[in-house]
Amino acid sequence: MHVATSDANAVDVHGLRVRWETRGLASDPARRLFAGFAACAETGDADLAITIDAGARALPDASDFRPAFFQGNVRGLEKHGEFRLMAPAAEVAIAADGRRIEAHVDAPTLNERGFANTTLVIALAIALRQHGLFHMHAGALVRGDGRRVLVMGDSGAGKSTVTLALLDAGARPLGDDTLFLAERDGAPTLLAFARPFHLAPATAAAFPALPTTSRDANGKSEIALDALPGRAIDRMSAPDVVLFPVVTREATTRAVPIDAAEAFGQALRSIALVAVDGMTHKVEQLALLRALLANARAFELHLGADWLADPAGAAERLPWARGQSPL
Amino acid sequence: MVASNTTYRAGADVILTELGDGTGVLLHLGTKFYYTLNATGIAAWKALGGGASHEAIASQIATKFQIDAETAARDIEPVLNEMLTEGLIARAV
Repeated sequence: MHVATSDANAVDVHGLRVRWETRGLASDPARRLFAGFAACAETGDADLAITIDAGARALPDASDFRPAFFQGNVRGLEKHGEFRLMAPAAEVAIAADGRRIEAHVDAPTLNERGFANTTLVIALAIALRQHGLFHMHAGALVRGDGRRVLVMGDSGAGKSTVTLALLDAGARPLGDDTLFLAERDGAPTLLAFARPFHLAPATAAAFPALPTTSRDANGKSEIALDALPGRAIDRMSAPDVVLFPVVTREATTRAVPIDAAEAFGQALRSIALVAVDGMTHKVEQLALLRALLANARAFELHLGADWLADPAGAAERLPWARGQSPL
Repeated sequence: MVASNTTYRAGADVILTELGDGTGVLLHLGTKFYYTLNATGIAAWKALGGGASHEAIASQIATKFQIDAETAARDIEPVLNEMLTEGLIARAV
């Protein structure tokens, strides 16, 4: 069923028409979220319609939904494929067919940036699965020699630090934290979700030349994509190299090869929605992930004191960062 | 512990992803844990089919890797025990 809306904002998200309406808020969290996507016509049906309402109306009772997951301070519930997110000052319903996201928020107490960067992203990740776009908590870039690098790991593992260091060494970014995996022309393809980079204070301090625009609710600095070295790319085919950064107490950074099974297992942590009860398309998503990693060499990148003290410099000292030797 | 004359089946909540190098990963959707499998583990998982005994699985392993049945049975027992402990397989009722 297509959802027709009017007088709303609309963008093209990798071929999907996403439209939203925000009512009763001083700023527009959805506009912040979709700032990196091209606008599309606001008339006609939407593939995904989002409403964010700060009015008094509430969502139907969800007491018969079963708990599905926790993500930070967001609690996910599920019933018959419909998901409900319970977050501070917000409650969000995601339709089972992925065509509607309905959010009700308490404007006076809402952290709009946190709502946009966390709650809405989770809602979007759930909805877009129904459209064949699978969220990945990962970064990716293309090196100067054309080699494609995927950087995967939990929050705080060092993805942004590694990505920024490689950008400083001449790579072009796809993203540092949020990507989507989809099949395009029969092949696994990583799609950008253009958002500012978010850097922990220590990481931001290691790249003093990068202009940070603001700090988010977690104290992380935001860097706009157009402020990064290297022009951003919109999509990337399967990687040549997959890096799993790990912060260590070692003095020197080293890349430790890992086998395909261990790489796939670690990669599962970056697509955590696949294990959530009630999620659909799990087999399809796992098959895509397998295809994505099929020809990549995988490494744990043990980040030593040299990397953390001077990430950009450490990247320069690694010959493969500049494509000078095969990795 | 695995027992003779007992049929085992793969857990309904477990998904196998087989990789190009003959290894693979099991994802237990109930516990959210993943398990890496070498070629023997993959063969054992596939031998489970819709339900198989320790002896039947060992027989298939023996044929696949061209080893004697007794060695196969001995080698596969700890694998099946671990799968049983982790809830990846269950005794068929």
